[in-house]
Amino acid sequence: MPVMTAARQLTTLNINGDHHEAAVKPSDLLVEVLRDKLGLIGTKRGCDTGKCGGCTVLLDGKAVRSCLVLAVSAQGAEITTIEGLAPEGEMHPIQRAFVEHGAIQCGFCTPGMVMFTKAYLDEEPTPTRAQIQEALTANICRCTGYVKIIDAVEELAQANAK
Amino acid sequence: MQPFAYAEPRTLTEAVSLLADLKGEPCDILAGGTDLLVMMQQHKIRPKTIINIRKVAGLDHVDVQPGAGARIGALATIRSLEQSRALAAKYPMLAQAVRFFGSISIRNMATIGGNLARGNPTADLPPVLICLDARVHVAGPRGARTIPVEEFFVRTGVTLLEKDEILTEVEIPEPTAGARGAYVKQCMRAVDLATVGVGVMVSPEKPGPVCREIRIAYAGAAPVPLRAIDAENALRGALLTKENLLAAAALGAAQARPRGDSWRADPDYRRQLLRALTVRMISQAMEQPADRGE
Repeated sequence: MPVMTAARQLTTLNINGDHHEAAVKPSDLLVEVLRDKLGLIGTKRGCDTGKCGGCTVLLDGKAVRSCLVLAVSAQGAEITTIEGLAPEGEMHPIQRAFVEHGAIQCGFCTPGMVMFTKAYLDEEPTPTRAQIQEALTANICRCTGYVKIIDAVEELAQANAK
Repeated sequence: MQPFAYAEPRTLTEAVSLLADLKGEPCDILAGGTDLLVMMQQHKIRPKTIINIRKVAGLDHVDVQPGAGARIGALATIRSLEQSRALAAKYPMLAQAVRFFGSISIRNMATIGGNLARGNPTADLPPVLICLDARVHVAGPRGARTIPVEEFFVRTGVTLLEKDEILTEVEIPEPTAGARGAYVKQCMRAVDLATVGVGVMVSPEKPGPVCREIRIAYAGAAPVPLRAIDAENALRGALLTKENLLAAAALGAAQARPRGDSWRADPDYRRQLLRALTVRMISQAMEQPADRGE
C-alpha cells in the first residue's frame, strides 16, 4: 500500500463542481490550497485552530473547518466554497437574506457564516430561533453582535416552513 | 507545518500492518483531525508520517440494539452520534453531552475514537462513557483486546493504546433499569474545551429516595478523566438529601488533582465548579425519566 512522500505531488480536487489540479504536499491544509494555490480567497483564515469558523467550507455537503483538513485527504470529496454557492453574478437566498437583514459589516466572518448556514439548513430546514442561536456558535463574528445574522437565518427557516 | 509522509489505508489490516512497520518512528493516526492538526499547527508535535484512517471501511457504524446496548465504530463522527435518535432514546446523557461538544462543524469531523485515543483529560465523552460503563475494542498485531473506558487513560495525552494499535469500537452496555444521567460542560466560550465537565448516573430507590447506585465522573479535574469514587461511596445506600449531596460533592472536589496553573481556571476555582456542578448534576439526573432499555 503506497505511502505518499512528503514532497509535492499533482493532486486533483473537486471544487464547486470543477476539477482543479495543484501541486500539493501532504502537509498543505485545504484552506491554504484554496487560497494560496487556487485563488479562492473567499474562505478566510481566522484562527487556524478550528474555533472561529472563518475557514468553513462544505465537504460532501457538511460544514467543516478547512484549516484542520489536509488537502490530500479531501481528494474524492465534493468541496463547496463560498464562490460556488451561486452562479456568477447571482445571489443565493442565504446571501440575499444576509444583505437584506444588515447581517454583514466587515464581511470577514460572512463566507463562513453563509456556508455553515447552507449546510445547517440543508440538514435541519426549520430550526427554532433558539436552535439557530445554538448552532451558530460554530462561527465567531466580531462586528455585528450576531442578532441580525440570527434574524436572517430565522427568516430562511420560516420560508422553509411554508 | 513541518512536512510529513502520508498514507490512507483502506482496511483495518492495512492500517495495523502500516503501524507495525512504522513502530518506533514518530507517526500519528489521523481521523477527524480536530485535536491532532491543532497540536501540529502549534508545533507541539512533529510526526514524520501521518496515517489517515478515515477511509478504512466498516468503522463508522452507530448500532443501537434492542436489549443489547450499543456498538459504535471508532470512526463514527460526533455528529452521527448526535443525529442518532435511537442512541438518544437509550442514552439521554450521551445525547446531552454531544451537544456541548465543540460546534456542529467540529462534530462533523471529530470521531468518538479520537475523543478517547487522544487522551485529553478535558474531553467530553470519557466521563459519560465511564458513567455508562463502556468498553473500547482495540486491534493490533498482537491480537484484539477490550479495555474498560475507566481504565483506558494513563495521564495527559497517554492511554493504554500501544503505538501499533488502533481503537476500533466503543461498546456501551444496556443501561441498568431505573438509571438516570446528566452531563454538563462548563466552558468559557461555547466552542472552547471544558474547564470542567461533570457526568452523573444515578439509580434512586423509593422510599427516600435512597441512592441504590451512582457513578460520578469528571473532565478537566485531573490528568485523566476522573471517577469520583469517594463521592460515590458516600452516597451509595444513603438518602439523596441536599446535605448528603453537598457532602459527597465536597469529597468529589477533594479527590480532584487539577493542573496547578490557572489555564482556564486555577485549582481552587476548578474545585468550586466541581462541587457546585456535582450537586447540580445529581439533582438534574433525578429529574430525568429513567433511562429505558429497549
